[in-house]
Amino acid sequence: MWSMPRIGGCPDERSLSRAFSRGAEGALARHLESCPRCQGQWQVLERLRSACRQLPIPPLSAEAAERIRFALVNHSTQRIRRAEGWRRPLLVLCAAGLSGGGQLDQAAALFRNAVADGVTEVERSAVAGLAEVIRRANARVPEGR
Amino acid sequence: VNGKVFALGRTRAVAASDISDGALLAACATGDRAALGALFDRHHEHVYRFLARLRLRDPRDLEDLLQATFLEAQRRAPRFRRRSSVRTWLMAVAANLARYHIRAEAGRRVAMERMGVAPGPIPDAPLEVTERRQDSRRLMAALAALDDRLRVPFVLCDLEGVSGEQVARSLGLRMGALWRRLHQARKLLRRALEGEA
Repeated sequence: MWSMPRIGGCPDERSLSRAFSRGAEGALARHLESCPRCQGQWQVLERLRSACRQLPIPPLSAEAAERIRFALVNHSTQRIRRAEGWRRPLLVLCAAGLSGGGQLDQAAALFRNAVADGVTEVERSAVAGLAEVIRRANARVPEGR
Repeated sequence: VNGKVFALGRTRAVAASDISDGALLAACATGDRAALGALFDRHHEHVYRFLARLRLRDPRDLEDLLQATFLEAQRRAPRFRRRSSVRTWLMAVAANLARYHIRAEAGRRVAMERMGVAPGPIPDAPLEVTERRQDSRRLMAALAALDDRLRVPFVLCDLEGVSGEQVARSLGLRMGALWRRLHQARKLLRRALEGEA
């Protein structure tokens, strides 16, 4: 709660910020009306809040909401957005790497196609990292081993 | 039961809209999936908007986190103590999950960079394509760069309009700590908006 004004009759910045969460009322409201300096600070806080509230938010489609709801109600604990077909190509990719890397490029292409729409950027990076590790490891293995 | 109507005892059925949030959550605690669906119907838009306002880097992760929030809410439902509204509690659950997600993502990103693998591009959200104003970009970057300890209270209080008392209770903070964090967050964001950061 905002109390009596401090030195010079004005609340310090922290007190004003604290009062901002509750809204201007009573003594503070009267003070703001008569003090251009505090009024200016108050308006800065209001502008900041307004600007943050107007920041763009990616919309949630009705279809996505329905899919999530369906998964929740039907006991599915799996993440529903993931494309179902990406795990198998990942295994192919790993197998290609472990078997010496001969089919690595084809396996990587297969995986990329399978996951084009179904994984996050983090997962894509993780798989790219895995492919790179396999590639480097295979590059170090001498011929004939 | 299609998620809209619930059996209550053996004598009568009630529409989901007649059931309080607390009662729905209590039903969730017993494993009632229809109640979970009704809770989702009632709150998913707010929870989604809250998650989006935490500025997760990949917009597609928002859907995952939205689903994970309600699954986690069902798991934690028996421990709900009514110290805040169910909606605020759900947002606190979402904030916790988002915090882990953001940390894990940052860790993976560092690991990828150490291996010399550049992360792929993040797809633009539709609104971000059309809105490229300098202020918005600066503010979004500043919000994303805020520490979780500052960002979550700021988003809950200032953007979602939840009262300080409820936020403090749901996040397990003392009021003094909450005001300090809010002040710090506003100061940093204000600097960004004014182009100082």
